[in-house]
Amino acid sequence: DNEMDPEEKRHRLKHTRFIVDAGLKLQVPCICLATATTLYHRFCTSCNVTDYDEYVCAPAVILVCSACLYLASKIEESPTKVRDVVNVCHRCLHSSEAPLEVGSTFWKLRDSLVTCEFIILRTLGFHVSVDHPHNYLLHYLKLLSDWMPPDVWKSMPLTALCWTLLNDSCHTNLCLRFSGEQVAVALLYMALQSFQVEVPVQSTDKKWWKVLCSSCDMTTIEAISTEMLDLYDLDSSLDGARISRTHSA
Amino acid sequence: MEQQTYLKRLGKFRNEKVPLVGSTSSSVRERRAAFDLQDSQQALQCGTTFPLEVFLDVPASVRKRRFLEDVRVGTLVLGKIVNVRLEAGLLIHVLEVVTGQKRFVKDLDLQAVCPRSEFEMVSDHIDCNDEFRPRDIVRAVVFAVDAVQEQLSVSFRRFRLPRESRSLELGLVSEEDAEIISKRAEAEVEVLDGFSHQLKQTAGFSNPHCIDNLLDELGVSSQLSSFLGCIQSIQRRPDDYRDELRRKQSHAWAMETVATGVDHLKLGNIEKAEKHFDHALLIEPNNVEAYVARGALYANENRYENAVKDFQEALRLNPKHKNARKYLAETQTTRGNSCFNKGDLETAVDYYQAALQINPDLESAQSQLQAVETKLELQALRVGAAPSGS
Repeated sequence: DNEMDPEEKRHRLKHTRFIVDAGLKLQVPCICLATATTLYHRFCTSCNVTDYDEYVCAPAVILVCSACLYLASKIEESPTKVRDVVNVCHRCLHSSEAPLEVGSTFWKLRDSLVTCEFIILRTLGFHVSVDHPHNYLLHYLKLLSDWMPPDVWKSMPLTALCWTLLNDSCHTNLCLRFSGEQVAVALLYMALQSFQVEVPVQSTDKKWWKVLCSSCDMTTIEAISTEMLDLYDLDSSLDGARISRTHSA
Repeated sequence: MEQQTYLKRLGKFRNEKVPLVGSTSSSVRERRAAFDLQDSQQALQCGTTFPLEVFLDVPASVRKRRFLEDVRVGTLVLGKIVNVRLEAGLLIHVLEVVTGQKRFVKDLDLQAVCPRSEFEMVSDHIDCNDEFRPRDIVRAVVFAVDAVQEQLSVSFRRFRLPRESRSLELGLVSEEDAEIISKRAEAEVEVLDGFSHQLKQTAGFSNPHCIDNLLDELGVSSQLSSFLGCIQSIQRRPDDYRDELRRKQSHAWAMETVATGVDHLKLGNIEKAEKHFDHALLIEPNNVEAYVARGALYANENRYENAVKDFQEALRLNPKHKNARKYLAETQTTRGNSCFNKGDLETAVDYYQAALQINPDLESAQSQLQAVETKLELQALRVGAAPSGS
């Protein structure tokens, strides 16, 4: 699992965006979106989706995304009903038509979703637990809030920035390449750099990022930060309208 | 070269994106005001570790200086009484910080003074020799900080407590608490396994609500936030949300089910029809048409009580439903008739009146009611006339 080429990144961004879109309307917590996108990334590496003609495959991949979301909601203990997942995902793709009624299409989609869920589970070898950076990063922030001088802490919306970076990180494949702790430390480092603030009292041998996560070093941090900057560059280069139009393909 | 590019890109990020960050809520919850030693639930809100400075190996002198710079008036501390002076007050060795920033202070040799004037006056004179002894553990509130003398001034007087800490007791702590605090003060600081290990093994770390608890404490909403244009461009129309979609879908499904049921009813398939109406009400519990249709089915099957219940429910949901009113009035009239024929005149009257209450113009009920009332009058006359003969 390594860096993807720009084409692959663009392709995946469409799908993770769909997951977030549907997840918002299903009103699942953010951590659930992180799990869903992680499962999607893991699934992609297990079977090469881009080998297939995008047009043919599009509905299938969207089904995979829907099933990842459904599965993730169970894993994160905020379960959704199959019926709601079918309704919302269908609506995301066909927002200008009448809402889906209970009929043969509905039942077919429902069955497909449940089958797809099982396919994903099998493909991932039932390894569906995810060690997210969110929990770690928030604990680090709590520690910092105790250690930073109070007026420095109050002057920067550090937690808000970190939370935004965490949410955006699910559109990258960082979850496949680095551990939750490594991503947490790197995002915190990036956020502190953004405010040009240092963690007080640095000794030469005890760097705070190394203390929080022993497997972290500057190479890791820079790789992760670069990946996030690449994501924002990719987003800027996209035509927003085009991305939402491709949904209805 | 690469460093240069990276820093340049980060600068661009800083300029373009960072100003967009949602602000931390202005009503940032004050840090947990009351850390109740015995409240195990509070300890499980999230993972706990020693403060960061312990893991960073910050020297005690630096930690002391920073603490004295950063500590705020109104902070509560726990300490052990070192000395009791009759006139001056108490000399206290600070062990823990209770509110505000959680710092590691027990090895800082930090002194706090509690002057006599800051004892809470319970009676006119207090002999502080009796109340306080060396080695007692006390809880006090900081009211002055002397960074030069490296000393805190603390008080037991309640008026110095900030609002959020009003629920805490000042002065001597209970015996049980004293034991816990003393033990903690004497415990070795175990950091050999490293921060990550310590964090992961605390029970609170695995609390599924950790993330929400921490976001709440740090004053940030748990709603999704993003710098990505493709996420911000997601349209959030109420029609696209889970509950609204389900509601519309349930309604359509229920109506279709009722329609099929009515078809069955017309063909005489009573059982199938009833199943459909029942199912429609499962799908949409307040579907008026289902109640009316089912009520009509019951009425046709002479199951009058059930029929009336359904019609009444339909009218409760929609008081103006024409068919519900019509059928209910007719059913009550029919019931009246059946009682009339059996000779139960009084109950017949009740039913006719019930029918007329729904529909005062219902002629069949009016004429039947009159008939019954006439009969009752005759009966009364006959009964009245009998004894006197004539």
